[in-house]
Amino acid sequence: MIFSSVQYLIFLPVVVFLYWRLNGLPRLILTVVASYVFYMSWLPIYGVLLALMTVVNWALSIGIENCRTPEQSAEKSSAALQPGQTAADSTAEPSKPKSKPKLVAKYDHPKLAKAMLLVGLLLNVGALCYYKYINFVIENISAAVHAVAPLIPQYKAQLSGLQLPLVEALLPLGISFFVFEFVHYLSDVYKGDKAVRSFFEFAAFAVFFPSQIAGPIKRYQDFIPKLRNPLPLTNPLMIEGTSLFMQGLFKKAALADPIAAIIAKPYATLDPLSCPDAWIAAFGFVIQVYCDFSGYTDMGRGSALLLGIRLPINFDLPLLSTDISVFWRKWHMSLGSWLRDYVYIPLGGSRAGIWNQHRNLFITMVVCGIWHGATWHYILFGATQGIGLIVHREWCRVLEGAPKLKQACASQIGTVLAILFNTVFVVLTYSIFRSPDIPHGLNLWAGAFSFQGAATLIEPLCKSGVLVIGAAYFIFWQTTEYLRHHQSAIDKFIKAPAQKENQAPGQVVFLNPLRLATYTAAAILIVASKPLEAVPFVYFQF
Amino acid sequence: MTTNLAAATVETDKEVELIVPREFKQPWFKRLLPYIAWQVVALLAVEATLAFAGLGEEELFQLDPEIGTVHMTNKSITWRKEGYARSYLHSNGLRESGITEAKPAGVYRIVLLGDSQVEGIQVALEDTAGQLLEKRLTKILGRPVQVLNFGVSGYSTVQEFLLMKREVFKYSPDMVLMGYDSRDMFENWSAPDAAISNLRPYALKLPKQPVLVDSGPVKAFMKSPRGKFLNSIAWLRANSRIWGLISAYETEASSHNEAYKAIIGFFISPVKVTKQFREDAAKKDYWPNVGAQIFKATIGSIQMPNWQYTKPVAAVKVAVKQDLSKEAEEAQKQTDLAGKQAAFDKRKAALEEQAKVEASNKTFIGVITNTMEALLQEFKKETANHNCKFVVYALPSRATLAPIAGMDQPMLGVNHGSEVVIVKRQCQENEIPFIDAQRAATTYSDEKLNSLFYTAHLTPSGQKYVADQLDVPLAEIIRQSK
Repeated sequence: MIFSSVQYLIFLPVVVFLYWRLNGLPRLILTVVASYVFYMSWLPIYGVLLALMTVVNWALSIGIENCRTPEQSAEKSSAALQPGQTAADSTAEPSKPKSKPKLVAKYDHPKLAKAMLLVGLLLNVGALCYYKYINFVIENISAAVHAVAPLIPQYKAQLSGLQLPLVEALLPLGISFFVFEFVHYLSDVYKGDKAVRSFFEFAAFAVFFPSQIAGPIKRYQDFIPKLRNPLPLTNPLMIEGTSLFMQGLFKKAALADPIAAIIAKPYATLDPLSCPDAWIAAFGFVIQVYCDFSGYTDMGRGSALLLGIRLPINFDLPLLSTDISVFWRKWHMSLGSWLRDYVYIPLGGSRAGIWNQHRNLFITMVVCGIWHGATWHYILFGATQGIGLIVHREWCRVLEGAPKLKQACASQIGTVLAILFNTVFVVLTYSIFRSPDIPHGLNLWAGAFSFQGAATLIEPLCKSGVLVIGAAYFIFWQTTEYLRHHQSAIDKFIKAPAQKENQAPGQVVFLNPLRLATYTAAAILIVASKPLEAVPFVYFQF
Repeated sequence: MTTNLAAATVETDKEVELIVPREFKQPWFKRLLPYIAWQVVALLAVEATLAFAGLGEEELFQLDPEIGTVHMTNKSITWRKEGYARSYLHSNGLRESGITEAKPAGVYRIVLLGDSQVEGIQVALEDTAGQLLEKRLTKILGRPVQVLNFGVSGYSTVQEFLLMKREVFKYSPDMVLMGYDSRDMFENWSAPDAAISNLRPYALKLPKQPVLVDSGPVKAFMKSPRGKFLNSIAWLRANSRIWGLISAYETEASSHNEAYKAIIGFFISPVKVTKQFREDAAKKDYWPNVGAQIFKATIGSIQMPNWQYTKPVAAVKVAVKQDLSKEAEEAQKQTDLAGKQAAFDKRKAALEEQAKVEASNKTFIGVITNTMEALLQEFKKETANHNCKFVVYALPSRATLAPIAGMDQPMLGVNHGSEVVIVKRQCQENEIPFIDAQRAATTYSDEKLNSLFYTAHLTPSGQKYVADQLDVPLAEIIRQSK
């Protein structure tokens, strides 16, 4: 079941209805059961894997906490899990990733606690590596052995004929995302945050269906209080939830999927590409992946809002970033902050001099690349991002010593040029990301800088209507946002008949005629634009 | 409400007005008005957007009391079901532009008749076999040749005959070229269903009687609730792109959804349907059935975890792989046995099929084939009366050459190959030129065959293949007919 399927459009209202009819433990159980139904409708056996990993991580976290000194375990070291805290306290603003606290926990049995942490990390990362990287490792070992074989004459025949068997296993859907959450959970508990004592709360954190398959990557300190005290299902919340869901669905079905069909061909060929086609394919993919992934996140966040839970934002108009550093703070934000907290900072962060900082940045982005998949083009993609970040840091240092240049860069023209330059960098590096391998990616680059050839993709692009539908999405997005934030202004002109006469000024009504009209328009445009066959979300494969 | 009640105790004469909030005092239709108005605005905005984007136009038939359906006129079509093509149906219902009824001097005019395979709405006009033939024949014959494509989706031979009599001869064709597609002969005798492309008159040839062509089923359909409904929304069907989007769903619902049928029936004959509903609702099992249907269509459609597939994935993949390797092995064996053996088998199968069909001449198939032959004779007679040549060709059929799941099954044991054999024999016996455009493809590899077809209809490669089969034989026929 995927968010853009008809089944989900039935599943979600049923779950939302039951969720608000229940309270306490039954509601929690419903959340867990619904999430497992959602997950296991794909391949049930991996539901068992997820359940096992949930049980093991929960047990280890309790074990780690029990190893603490009594005073330490009683301390409320994590602000997020204080019993008196309500969801409203933590949900007024979209949660922003915070820097991790230093290790504050003291242990009676430090070695045991550390051992449990290591076991947990090994199990989680091991499961991820097994499913994601085992064949990559085997293939590269085979290649290395075959390359070395001629150098060892006495074993040449054996080594040349060595065929290491590949592992036949499908990648469990969303494994990266729940492994990242488990790693975060165990690490933070080990550092001193309180563990989640309720198994069902932890299970809900692990499998929560709106963020289960492709994030955003949640922080349990942020999520558990919201789960305990969800926001009341008021009109503004329903409006925000449904608007977000519709925006996400629009982006995914009406923009990302048609674009995917248009640009598929240039990425699948090693024949020379014309310059315009290469650029259309490169720009097209960045727009496609943005609409696809941010569309998924919007649908997930919208679904979660209907359950009274505000998930962290994952995208903040990243394609308008002025530099690559800002881009990574606005693109897949939950992954960026996770990498910062659990890779970059443990590596030393920016603490030990500029070169170590550069090294850490590079390693972090290569890890980011490898996370996307066990192939060399993802590693190259990560490396280019790392180099981009390092160059940007150096550029910032140059600017510090040149105030006039800094001033010029901060001007309007400078900002526009910076956005343009950054976008071109992102587009080119993401073309490597999209290509099936490095030669295909380099072929696209060669086309992009050949400065010749005819634009054969213009015609299908225009014929698909995606440009017009893109403009329609912009209007829909702005209208729904305006309706959400300026209800009283709208009420002056279009008052919902259901609105009571004695209603407080500014009180919003869900069934506003204009809002329903925008939903109708969006729904028809989505049906008109979407391809006949559903296209899987890009990030499902990661 | 509290404020209103407090006020009511002070101003007794306004009690009623104050206790009942104003919005509930309004009649329901007034309360509904802003919603309807804004929905209309939204729909108009969507229509404009779709028009600008060129999306959502897949409605191309208008109802015709004689033939069943004909092409709409002055209508742009964007076809996305198979392939992707934009077309414009001009005021004469043809895709070709600049066609006048008066034939330009010196032009040899060919009219194509047939169903969707001839119509070729799935591909751009310039990629259709008709347009390719026009260019090639002009080149081969050294004189201007014009090809007018009168193909219409879903047409049977009898519909093609009626269309020819009513429209085609206005254009003074020199040749009528009829494409025979799978099931055409059976469609001369088929009951209408919800899909209007299946709305057809019938033809019947009984021994010692002239062939009967009757539009009775079409006229009956026009009087049915669905016929009336479609006629009542004719303007919407012709002009709305939103309707173009929902048309396919509407047709599907008209076939299978009882609730939808009831709603349509209610709009057409409210009194009758209400009476029927009262009677049905009084029955014991009516509401449980309704509940069961609603459940099945909503919650019941959610895919639950299927434990049947819980065995280790690796094992599943290995099993699939083994199956695939077995299939590959089998395919290889089949390839090895190709050549003479395959040709022999095919010939043998064709003879067997022919024998099978001939043996059942006294049955239903006999009537169908006799009707087909009678229609061919009528075609020949009518075209001769208008000084034009009549030629038949057999179209390639995916169901026969490269079948995929859900394709047309053989009708009463007769497949397209057998139909072609029958039509060919009938043409020979009646001295009608016949070109078998399917035969060459029977030797093609699977890959090549798949490149000829989308799900069922011809791709640009398929259209080119048809033109390849027809150009030289047609040029020869034209030369001989001079």
